[in-house]
This record gives sequence, C-alpha cells and structure tokens, in this order.
Amino acid sequence: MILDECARAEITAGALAIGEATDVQREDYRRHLSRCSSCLTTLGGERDVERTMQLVARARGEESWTPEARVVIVRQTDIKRRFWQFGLAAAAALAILWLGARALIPNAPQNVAERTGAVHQSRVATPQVKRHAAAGHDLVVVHNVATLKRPPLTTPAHVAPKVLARGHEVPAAPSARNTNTAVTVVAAAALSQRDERSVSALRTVGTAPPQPGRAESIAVLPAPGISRDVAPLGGESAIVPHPPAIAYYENAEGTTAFDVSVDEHGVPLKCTVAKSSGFVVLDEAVCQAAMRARYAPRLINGHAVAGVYHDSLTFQAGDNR
Amino acid sequence: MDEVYLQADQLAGAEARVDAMVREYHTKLARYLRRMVGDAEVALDLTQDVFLAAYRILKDDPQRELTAGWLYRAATNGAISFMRRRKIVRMMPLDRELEREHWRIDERSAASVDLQAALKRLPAEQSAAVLLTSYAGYSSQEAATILGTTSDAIRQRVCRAMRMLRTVMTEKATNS
Repeated sequence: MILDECARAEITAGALAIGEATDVQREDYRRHLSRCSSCLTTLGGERDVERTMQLVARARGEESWTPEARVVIVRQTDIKRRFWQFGLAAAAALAILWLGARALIPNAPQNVAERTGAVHQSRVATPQVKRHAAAGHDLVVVHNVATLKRPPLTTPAHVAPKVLARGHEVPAAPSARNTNTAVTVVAAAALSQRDERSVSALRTVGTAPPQPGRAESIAVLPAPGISRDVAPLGGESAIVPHPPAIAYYENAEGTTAFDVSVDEHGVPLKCTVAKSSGFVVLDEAVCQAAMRARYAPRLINGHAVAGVYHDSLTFQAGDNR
Repeated sequence: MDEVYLQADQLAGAEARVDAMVREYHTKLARYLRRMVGDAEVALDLTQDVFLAAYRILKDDPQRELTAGWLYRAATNGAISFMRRRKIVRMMPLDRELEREHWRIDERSAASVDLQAALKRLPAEQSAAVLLTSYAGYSSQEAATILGTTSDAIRQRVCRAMRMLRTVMTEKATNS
C-alpha cells in the first residue's frame, strides 16, 4: 500500500506546485513524508515545492521578450492548386511511361520481300531496326546484309542487274518474271572492271525503295555447291548488340562490318571487325553480340564444315527524348 | 509565388476574428512556444501556423467557437511535432554557450534563462504541463482538457518536472 501512497503523494506534490492542494491534501502529504524518506528526498517538502515554483513565477514575471505580431500568411494550398499539381504530375508520369514503352518495344521489321514480291524470300535482306534506350536517348540499329565478299555467282536469266555510277541512274530493263524488281548499287567511285564483274555476278533479287534513315539492303544468294551458308540461329535478328550508355549519350553512329568464324558445330570461335564504325564501344558491342549468338554451320553437299559469317550493323542516333 | 496575403474583402468574418485572436494571444502563444522549443524564430513560425489553422477553420465554419484552450492545444501539438522532427535532424550549435548568450540578450532575468535550461531537459509532455499551469495560468483540469488527459496526470507531470526544475534552478540560485 505504500506504493499507492507514494503515487498519491506525487500527485499531491503536483497540486501543491500548481497551488490547487487543499488543507486535507497538505496534511496527508506531510504525514506521508514523515514516514517515507524516499518521497522526502525525491519530491521535497512543501517549502521546497513552493520555493521552486516561486523561481518559475519570477522567471515568468521577468520575461521581457515581446515579439512583434506578424501578418497571418495564407498559403494557397486550396483544391485548385492541388488539382494543377496533381494533374501536372500525372501527365508527366504518363509521358514517361509512354516514352519508356516506346523505347522498349522494338519497331516491327519491314518485310521487303513481301512488298517487292521477291522470289527468294528466305534470303531477302530485311533492314531490321532495333531501338535501344538509355536515359532518354535512342540508338537505332539497322541490320545490313550488304556484303561483297561472297564468291562470284552466275547471273540468273530473269534478273538484269543494273549498276549506277556516281548517281547516274540507269533505267531498269523489264524483267520477264518480275517487272517490279529494281536493284540499286551506288558506287562510291568509278567502277573498275573487276568491280563490275563482281557486281554483275550478284544474284540480286530486289530491294525495297530507299527510305530516309534506313540502310539499303542487297540480298545475296549462296554460291552453287553450298547447300547452306553459315547463318545465325533465329535469323539475323538474333544478333542484338547492347552498346554501353556512353554510346547513347555521345550519339555514336556508324556501320560495323564483322566476320564470325563458326566451326562445324555452329559455335562461334572468333569475331573480327572488318570495318570499324569509328566507335570502339559499338564495335565491341557488335562482336559481343555476335559471339553470344549460335549459328547453323555451313553445309556443303550435306556435310557441316567450318565457315565464316559476314554481316554488318549500322547504328543511327535516334531522336533525343 | 505560392503565398498570398489575406484579401480583406474576401475574409471579412474570419479575418476579424483571427485579428482579435492575434492581438490577444500572439505574445502569450509565442512565449509559450518559445519556452517549449527553445528558439524564438521557430516559436514565431509555429505561432503563425496556429493562427493560420484557426483562420482556415473559421473560414470553413464561421460559427465555430475557438477558445484559447484550442489555440494552446494546437500550439502544443505543433511544438511536439517540431521537437520530434528535430530529434531526427538537429542543428548543433558550434558553441553551446552561444545559445545561452542568445537567451541572455533577450532575457535580462537569470531566472528566465535558468528556467529555459531546465525546460530543455524535460520531456515535451512535462514541459507543456508546467508551462500551461504555472506559466499560462491554467488549472490542472483546464490543462488536462487542452492536452487531452486527466488532471491527476497533469499534476503528476508537474511533480516530475519539478524535480528537474528544482535541481537546475535551485542550484543556480544557490551558486549565484
């Protein structure tokens, strides 16, 4: 019961300090302190309490700080302002989501063969555009399949190749099977006799009309005697380079031509950059992607042999968003 | 530009009542809050917030009766919230004596300075109980209503606060 009395004495001491204690409470307090030495030490006698409160009262009476009344300021946090804040934030979030979705979903590849009605659809080159994004920047990767390193082939009778020298267009000769076929090879310089032979040896089947921002594509058929050339499993789109972020920030552009040595099991052994894009990061990204891919080995008369896969990728800086 | 001053023609009723409150209680509330938080500028800001809250209430409900107890309750809550935040981010003065010097400039009374030194060591609930009863002049029942507790709890808090006050203030008075 002594604990209850101590708790009661604590409350009475508070009442003494405030000045609300009755005479009966004062008498009880005195009686309790006479029996409880711990309360006498911690709470103090009536005189101790009054002396302390006198100091508080003196501090209150001597306080001289008188602040100037300020004008009440109303912050305009009404519904209208919050509506605009919320609306702007929501619009910004939607715009970010939309841009992110656009950057992540690659553009659908355009099937040139379907549009031109080409015969050899399996080898018709399709410029494949991949968009990658890093921190709001776009980098467009155009898949080129233009390569002149193949062995010369015989020209098919139904296609008449045309050669343009320095932008002078030669009208296409009408073809018996496909009048829409048009082949365009823009020579960087005057064609030599050897070049003309090489170009005329190509069994070109058709390309899409040139589109701004897209690389032109030239389809090449395999040489006779080779049942199948080296090709990446999953098609050319299986090689997906991932350049580092610095390439996006620097708007790195260029074409990287590369050769991949593939053994008879379809395993890539070595990647060599045949023509640099001018940016080491792009070349390395291409070779890393090429080494990640798996390939169908070259087949000669049904036998798998080692071969080399030639390809090139063109990087174009997209719009900065 | 997110702050605009009150427009007199828009706020006739609420503005008049808040003006009356400011004239009557601004100094009392500012002193009370200054004792609670120990900083004059913060106390003025918190006082401003109390009157602003009162204005918003009166603007929405002109018939609402706001008592002085409501102002002290809002001030106490604001001070306790501020002190909780200050526990997280606390700006420590480079020179601790500088803080006391600041009080000495505002206050000529040694007792006033010592009271603040003692209040700084108390929990916010005990400071509020002492200041509301012994400083603002409210009874334990009124202080209990303001702080949302019982009168016995207020007396108990005052008693516990007294121990610290006695330790600091009596020793200072004896030394001086």
